[in-house]
Amino acid sequence: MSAKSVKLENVTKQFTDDEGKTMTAVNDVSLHIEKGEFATLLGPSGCGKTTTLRMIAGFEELSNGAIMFGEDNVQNIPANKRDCTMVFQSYALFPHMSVYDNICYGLKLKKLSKSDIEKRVTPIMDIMNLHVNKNRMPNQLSGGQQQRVALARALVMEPGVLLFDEPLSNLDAKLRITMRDEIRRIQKELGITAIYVTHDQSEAMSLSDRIVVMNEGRIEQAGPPMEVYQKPKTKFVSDFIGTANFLDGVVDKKESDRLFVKTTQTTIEVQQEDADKFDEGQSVSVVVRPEAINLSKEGTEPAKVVKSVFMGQIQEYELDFNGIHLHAVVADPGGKEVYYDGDDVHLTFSQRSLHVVPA
Amino acid sequence: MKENIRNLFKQPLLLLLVVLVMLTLIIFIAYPMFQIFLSSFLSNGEFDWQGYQRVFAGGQLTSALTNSLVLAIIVSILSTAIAYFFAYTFAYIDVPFKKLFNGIAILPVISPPFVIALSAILLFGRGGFISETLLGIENANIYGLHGLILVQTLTYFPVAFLVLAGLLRSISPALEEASDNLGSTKWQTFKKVTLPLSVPGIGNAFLLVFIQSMADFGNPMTIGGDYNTVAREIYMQAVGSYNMQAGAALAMVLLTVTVILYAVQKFWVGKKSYVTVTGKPTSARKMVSTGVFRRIMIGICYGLSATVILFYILVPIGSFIQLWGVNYSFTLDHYSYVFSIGQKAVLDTLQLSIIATPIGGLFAMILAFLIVRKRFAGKKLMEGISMLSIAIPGTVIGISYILAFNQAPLAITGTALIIIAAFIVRAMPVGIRSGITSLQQIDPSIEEAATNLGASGSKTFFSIVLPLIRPAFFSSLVYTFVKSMTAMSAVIFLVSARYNLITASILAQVESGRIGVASAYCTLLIILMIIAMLILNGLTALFTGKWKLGKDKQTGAEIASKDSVTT
Repeated sequence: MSAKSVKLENVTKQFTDDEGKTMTAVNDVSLHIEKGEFATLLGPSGCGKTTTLRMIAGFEELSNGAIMFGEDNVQNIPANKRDCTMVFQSYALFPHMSVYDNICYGLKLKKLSKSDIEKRVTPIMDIMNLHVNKNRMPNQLSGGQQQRVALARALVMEPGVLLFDEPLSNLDAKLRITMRDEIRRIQKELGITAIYVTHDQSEAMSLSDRIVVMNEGRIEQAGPPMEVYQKPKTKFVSDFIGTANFLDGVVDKKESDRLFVKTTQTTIEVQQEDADKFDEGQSVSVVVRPEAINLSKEGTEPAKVVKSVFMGQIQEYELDFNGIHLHAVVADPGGKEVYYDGDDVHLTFSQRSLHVVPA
Repeated sequence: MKENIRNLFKQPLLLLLVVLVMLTLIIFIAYPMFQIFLSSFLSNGEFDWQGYQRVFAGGQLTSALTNSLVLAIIVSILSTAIAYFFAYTFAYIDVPFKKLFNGIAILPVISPPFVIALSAILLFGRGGFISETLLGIENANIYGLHGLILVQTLTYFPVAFLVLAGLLRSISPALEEASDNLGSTKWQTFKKVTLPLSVPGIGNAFLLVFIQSMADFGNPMTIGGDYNTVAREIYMQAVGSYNMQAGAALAMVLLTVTVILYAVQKFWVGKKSYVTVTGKPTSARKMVSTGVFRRIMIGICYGLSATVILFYILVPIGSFIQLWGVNYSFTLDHYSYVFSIGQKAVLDTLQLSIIATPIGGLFAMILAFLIVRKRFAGKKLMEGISMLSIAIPGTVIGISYILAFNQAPLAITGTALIIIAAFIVRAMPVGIRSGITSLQQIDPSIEEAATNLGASGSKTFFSIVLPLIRPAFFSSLVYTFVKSMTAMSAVIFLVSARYNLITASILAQVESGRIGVASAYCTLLIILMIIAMLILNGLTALFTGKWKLGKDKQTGAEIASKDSVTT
């Protein structure tokens, strides 16, 4: 298996609907995915992530830009000749073929001998634990098994790039987690380049080397999961990945690695690596993750508990902070003081978790 | 648009296919229609209105037109009423041997167009079994409007039945239960809920029967007598008096009527029924299983069914009888005629039908595939022409082919090609429709998966698409074969010394009063069709037995008969 890097250069896709209106689905996207990297395109529906994936697979033509596999521009390579295989959202198993026939469909097209096919299919079926179901028809399999067949069918081709189009969205929650771990394990084991499309942020977090957050056809931010979560570049990213409270204000003062943001309530000091990108007086929002809010009886930032809900692992609070609505979660409620509806509390923010984004 | 054209040139195979299909549609549908349009305005190469003047001037052609309309209205009303009665019984009442209805519903699809007309002659004609032998009426006359009404109603009510049975089945029982629950009597529920909900279906059924009655050629030729109708008059003008202009003008009028009715049926009535009928039934309907009402309904339905069956079995019986009404002794003479002098027609028909069947079946699937799955320039036109073909009556195809293919550049009159083309064009709409329906149920990403794994366009079509739409493909094969074997209205214009057809021979026998031979032909035709259908159904079962796609398993004939009426 020879994994390939994938490079997207200024890729744009425009659709024209029946009435002649033009709509830009993917807008000037550039991205370089390394050999063996697991990259996830994450975003709300209609953000262009699936269209991007389909352009890589060759199902959609580019309106502009280029896509390279390794050093080769794939512009003129039709979908059936591209060195990438795809796992579809609906699995797209061939309903009239057995599990085994499904898996070796692509190999047969390559005109491999029966024994060569056997040689390649057997280890994949081992990995995917599919031997028992070899001769079953797809409609006799459970959702998870179908998913495995779809994955095996793509893997057995030993593609340079493996594409996933929301492959787990049809599974129940528990199975989704099992399959997710399995996909990641196999991808690492085989060293495949994988491009994965999903709208589920926890899936993206747990799978990816890199998350590419897309919105309205553009890339908002690309980076490792931790970076995207902790250091979002835009309000959209901070809101889409995890949940976020925003405290709006202006930059009061900036130092080399910190910003002082003046909000209506208070002035907040934030450690910010890219502080020099901001100007004094610029309108910004401070991203406060719910888990970065600490509650105590004494302090300088008074707030009121509007609603308090016990969730087992955590205690959830809705807070009124001088007219601003804040959402907070506190882990391990059993080991901590718990506040109830109407209680007066004081807030402190875990400074290292705060982050500033342009308003 | 530009992108679509670019798309085409990137896939040379698709381009070739689109061009081929488009050319076929243009040559065998659009061009003949254009020719007929042109001819209706031309007398000896000069433009004039003579053709249309003759159609509307009040003479023979006008009466043919009004006659057809009167007949169509009466037959549609009667058929729809009977069909509703049947469909209601079918959907609401627990009837023993329900399968029987399905069988009866398929009969008119598979039987030659004039079986019932022949039976009517045997029963009610001069020397008829009922008219003379039982009632003692001499010189009884079944020919004319009353005969046509009887024969067409018995032939077409099953069509209406299929439409209405489907509709009643899809009315959610919860609606009627709600009405009962709010205090309605059964009769009030029927009047206020069930009947209003079935109005679109009734409209649908009415229009479909109306169109078929208007376009009918076989029955008027057999039993019409002095009652002249449009399809027959077109034939008379074209073949009898060589007045192509008048024939073409009348054909244009008929075509206009059927196209308008189809449009109304598809875009107006069809749309309406989508609004009123809610998705899948919430629960099974509780069938009426006791009571006087049930017994009466069942009684009437059995009676009517028995009548229909009687009409169908009388023909085989008649084929063994020396001279109906005069000499009821057993004979094989009629068959020896069919197998000696008549043999050529039988073999020609079989040969041409067997050639047309795979071509027609595959062509319909490819066309459906292009329409549902592909984006290319000219797709709208392709869709339009193939949709138009549904609405073209056989006689109109017939006369237009004479006009289009009698001279260069496409002088193919008298060849096998023209007959095969007519067979395929006549059967194609049903195949396309079932192809489209079943393709729409298949997730497009299955085909993308094949492409993604390295399959070329044609490989994807033959290894994935065609196996997945096999039921539609087989139903299209069955339908093409059946329609070809029993085709008359279109091909009657096209038969020649080189190629004769069974249906044309039957007609000739009926015209010369040799009902016995006609019956023998009909019987043979029915037997051939049953054999062919068994073979095709066997193949369907063989190839589709392993897996099912949602729907219950149905035979090719059942699918074909349903597809031929539902849109």
